[in-house]
Amino acid sequence: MRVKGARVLAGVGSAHGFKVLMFNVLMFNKGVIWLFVVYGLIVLLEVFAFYITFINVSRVKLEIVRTVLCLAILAVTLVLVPYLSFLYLAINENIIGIIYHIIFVVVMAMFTHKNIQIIRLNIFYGVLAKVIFLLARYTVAAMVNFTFAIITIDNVIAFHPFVTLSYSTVIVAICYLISKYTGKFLQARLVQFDDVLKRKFASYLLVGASITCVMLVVATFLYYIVAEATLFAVYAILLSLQFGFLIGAIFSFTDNFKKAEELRHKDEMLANLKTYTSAIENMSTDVRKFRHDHINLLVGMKGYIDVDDMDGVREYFYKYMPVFKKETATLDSRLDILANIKTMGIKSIISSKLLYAIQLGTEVYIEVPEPIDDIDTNHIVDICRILGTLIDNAIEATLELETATIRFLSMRKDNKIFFIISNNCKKPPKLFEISQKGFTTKGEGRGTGLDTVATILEKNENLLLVTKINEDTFIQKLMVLLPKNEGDRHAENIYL
Amino acid sequence: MLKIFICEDNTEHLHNIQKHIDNYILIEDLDMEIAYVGTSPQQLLQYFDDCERKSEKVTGLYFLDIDLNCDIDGISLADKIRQHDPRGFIVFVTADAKSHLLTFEYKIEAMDYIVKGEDNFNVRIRECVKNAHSRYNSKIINALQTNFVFELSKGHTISIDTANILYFETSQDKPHNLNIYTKETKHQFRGSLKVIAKKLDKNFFRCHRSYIVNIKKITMFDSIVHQITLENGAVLDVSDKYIKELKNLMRA
Repeated sequence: MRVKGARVLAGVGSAHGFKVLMFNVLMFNKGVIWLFVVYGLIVLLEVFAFYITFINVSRVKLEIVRTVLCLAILAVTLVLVPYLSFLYLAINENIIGIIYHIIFVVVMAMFTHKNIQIIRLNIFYGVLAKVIFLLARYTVAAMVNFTFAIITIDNVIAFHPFVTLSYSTVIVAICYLISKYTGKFLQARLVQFDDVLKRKFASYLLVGASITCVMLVVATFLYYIVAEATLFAVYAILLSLQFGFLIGAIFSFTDNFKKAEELRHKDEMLANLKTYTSAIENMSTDVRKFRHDHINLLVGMKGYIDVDDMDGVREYFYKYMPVFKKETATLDSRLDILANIKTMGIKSIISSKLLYAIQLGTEVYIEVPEPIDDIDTNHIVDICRILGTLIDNAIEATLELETATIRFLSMRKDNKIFFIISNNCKKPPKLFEISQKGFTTKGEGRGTGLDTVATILEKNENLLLVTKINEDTFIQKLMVLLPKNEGDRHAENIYL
Repeated sequence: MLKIFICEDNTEHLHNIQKHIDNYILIEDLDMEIAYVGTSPQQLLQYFDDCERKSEKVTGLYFLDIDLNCDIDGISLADKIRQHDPRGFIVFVTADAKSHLLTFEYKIEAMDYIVKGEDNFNVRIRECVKNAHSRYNSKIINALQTNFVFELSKGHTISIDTANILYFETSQDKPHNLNIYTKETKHQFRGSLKVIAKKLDKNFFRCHRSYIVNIKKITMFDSIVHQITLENGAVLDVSDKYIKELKNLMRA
């Protein structure tokens, strides 16, 4: 975000500064067509800069249709709105400003993410930030007008540098306070995000609004004194900065959302861990009970041995020794094998899901023939989400079968860690159907699980999912590709 | 020659298996020999060391018990065998097969497993020997199989026997990507049909703007609605301009 933020400031900001200057020139020369053409070109430049930066920052590959649509809306808004209003409608330029700034923010937000919920949030906070900026701008403008009016009334025609400077300082201070308290107010309202992130948004807003204030002071100088070249330059730079910080504020929200999502997942994992721990506890009680039973049984046997009753021993042994009863291989001892998975989060999700399956009466076989410990921590959350979905699907698929079997295997092979989940099913779906969007065997409105899995897989080059279907078994293989060793370049078989 | 190794901690079972295999090889006059029979995994692994010293290559058929009453179990033994003999045929002989099925299949890539105490135990052993023998011989003949190799992500490549590929398709959700289908799997990779068409042999035919199909895998060809059905049940369209050519190919 730091590097990307700089890019945002530099790229979009400067283009935007350019554009606004051109817009001001337009305001003074209404109806000059060739100026509009130049303006239009600059707008296109800005839109392009936008596109590049947004793609970089949000790391979202947009579909072509949406990109073209967004760009078109942007260009049309930026070129046509001022054109029409200046030429035909003679609306106040402030109102135009507000309208197209808001449209701008909405389109911008559409760039930021694929998820509709995040887009909505971005729009909300983007518009909020913009409104605050504009408010600050108009307040300052009004104040400046007012002061200069007083100055003119008092016939103090000479703008003594000290007088203007002190006025400006007071105004900037007032605006700084306003934006600071707006920021604080916002901080108090944004409950759903954690403190650091709130501060980030507020600070972006604060800096942005302060810059707006300074900018307006400079602008007033421009309007009221002389159009001096250096002042124009300062104005443009300030514009760029202001715009950059506005975008910063919006992006900090995209970030926020991602982080909040990660937090939620961590919570979920913690819950899984708890289930797992309680399962272990149950297990140890079971073991204690078993040992207790054992001793009782041996004591019983001792009675027969003492009186040398061999037939009695035999009868007693086969009748009561729990080793020879199948049921004692209880569910919990099976989860024991999972101890080979050393990554807590993954272990907990697998154990809790499989435990659930066992409780439903599914036959569950767990195989972890060797310790699995070197999973990259960056992948853990994603792997958990995928495994969770896959096991859920397996459980659901076997729910209505008479003999439900789920098998789980985790192993390492040729630089890969495998998680294999297989389940039996009555009528397996066709392979080429599964990958279709929203495919499900569960009825309308379902089937988002595999979609989510697909999105996660798309993001991670190192995760690979292979689906295999035999006549009555459905097998999902999740592979985690570990970094390759040098000199290990030959093509490897992924077992089909 | 295919060598047979048997490792089992129960001597009674051990000799039972050995006797059956001996008889079977004798009756069928198979080109096989029993190289090791015993209870100790270490001795079995020793055999490989000896061979390596003589720089001989071993391809074997292994009958392994899971519970060897020893510091390593059958699965880790099999894992070690795989390092010496990647193409060997491993058969597990065990009382409890059910809890290791996936490990057999994916970790060890075992050829088969036999459950102790089943009625058809002897029959299964004979089957395994026969299977391994025929596979071993066909493997020598089919050493020339061609593989289609493609890259998934940086440094990770997959190779698939071209005889298993059903068809290629341009991906609808990701531009410049192709989906490759076999009967049981599907992969996505970056590429274009035009380029891979040149790499593939004459069994593959471009039947549509977005498909290349393996002709050997077509189960049904409907020249009226211009559609083909493949072994996995997928139905693909055929373009008008390719239909004639495909018809000729199918006749041939």
